[in-house]
Amino acid sequence: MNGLIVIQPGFWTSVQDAGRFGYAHLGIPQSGVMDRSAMAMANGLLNNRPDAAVIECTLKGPVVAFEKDTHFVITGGGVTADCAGKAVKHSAVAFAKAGDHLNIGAVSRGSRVYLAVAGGIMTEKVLGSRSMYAPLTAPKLEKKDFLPIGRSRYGAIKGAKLKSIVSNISGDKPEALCLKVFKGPEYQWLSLDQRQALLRPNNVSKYLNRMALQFEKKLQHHMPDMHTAPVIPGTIQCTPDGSLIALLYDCQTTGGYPRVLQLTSESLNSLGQLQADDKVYWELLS
Amino acid sequence: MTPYDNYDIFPLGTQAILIRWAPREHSQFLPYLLAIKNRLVLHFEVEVVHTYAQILLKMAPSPAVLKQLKKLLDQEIEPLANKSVIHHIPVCYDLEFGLDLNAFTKAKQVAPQTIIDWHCAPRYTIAFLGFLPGFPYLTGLDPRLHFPRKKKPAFNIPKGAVAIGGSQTGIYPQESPGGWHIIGNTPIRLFDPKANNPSPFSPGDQIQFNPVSFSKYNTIAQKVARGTYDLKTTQS
Repeated sequence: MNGLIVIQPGFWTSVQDAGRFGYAHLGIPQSGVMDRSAMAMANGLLNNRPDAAVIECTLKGPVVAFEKDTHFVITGGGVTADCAGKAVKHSAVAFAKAGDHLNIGAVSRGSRVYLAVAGGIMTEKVLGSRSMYAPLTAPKLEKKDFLPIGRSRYGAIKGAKLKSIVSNISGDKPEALCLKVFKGPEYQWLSLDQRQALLRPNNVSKYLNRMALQFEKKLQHHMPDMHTAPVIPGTIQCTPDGSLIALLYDCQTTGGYPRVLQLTSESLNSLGQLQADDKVYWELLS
Repeated sequence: MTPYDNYDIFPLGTQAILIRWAPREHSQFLPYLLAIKNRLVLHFEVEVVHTYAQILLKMAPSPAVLKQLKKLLDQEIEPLANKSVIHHIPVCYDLEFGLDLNAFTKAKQVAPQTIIDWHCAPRYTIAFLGFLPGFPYLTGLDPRLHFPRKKKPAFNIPKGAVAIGGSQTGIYPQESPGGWHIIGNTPIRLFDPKANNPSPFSPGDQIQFNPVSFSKYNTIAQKVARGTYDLKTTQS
């Protein structure tokens, strides 16, 4: 069987697909790739199924070895990568020969880079998904892990389709990101002044992972305690000490803090590329 | 007025719909909530998450869906039958496992055995699963055992820990950080992602904690490891 071998795992590298559905009632998170547009582009370029599993690399990429000749793509955040010593172009199909090592460096723009292979990563599904999440799977890839690759369908597409996908590559990262939000279920608990303060420009704190992202500026408030209630990726909670926490794809299914805002899916996706100190401002949709 | 007609529907962004009922006595309301949940799952065939008095539907809140939802919620409904499964959970309350039991008994100024008696006396109801895969939220904790959560969460609560936080008690299916006070540990496996049914628990089921000795705990743990231990369940 064709596959990849992990030579060096990088900082936090995991297999992710579109997510795990149908098990939220057991307390199982949705998981799946953090930057959906990067995954869509990578799979599109390779003529994979749109939900084919990819490798998500955070901050510092891995070194992997290809068992057989393989087409692959790197998308998402900015990064330098080389395959058998030759530079790999971002967001373009590249080719590795059997035995070649692909070395993905430190992420220089954004925070997550995606490696997709023609045929998709075909690790074993757990509860309907290949997305890695402990304790369902190992938390992340380790040295010597073997990742099977499916059958390539690359080559069956023509240039026209490729061009339309490539033209969607986002430009350089803007100075500050505009996050579009809806009111959350407990938004009404805030006073008018607090609602204004909530939507002040903010910064990403150093507390961020696949579960959640905490913002730097806190919100002074007097909201009461509440009972545990359902949450979804994109829900922004406000803790008793005023910390604002955006829940991401590995978040719990229930939470006990007031849900003050809800991100649009597009804004949720853009959070996947933020890093500590990045600036955000808000646009409240009706 | 029926117990279930005081609700509102809240579109949670464009991906989900939340139904919230006014604050109420949770254990009384649960049979209605589960009946309503079953009705919604059957009708919409989407992923549904519920907690004490809220239901979340993972579907876009289109005007047509909201209209249909309101119709379904306003129909008469029978609460789910009271007959349910009881899971008998063996718990060892020895200090090797009850890491916070000493501090807990000191704060409550009663003997450890009294804490154990109070904790094992009620039959708890599983309201829902959340927080961690397979973590059951239980109602029915004796108010004498209510105790505020730790100010600073413990880094590592062991797998199988039986703990109390605020007015709630629960079992940790796997190791996790957490702010609850650990009073014992169960050797049984509460979550197995490889199984057809990863959790033995369903909302509405009941739980009975049975105190076991250290040696009995070890015997059960060995059976669990060999895969020969069957969780004891009875019908109420």
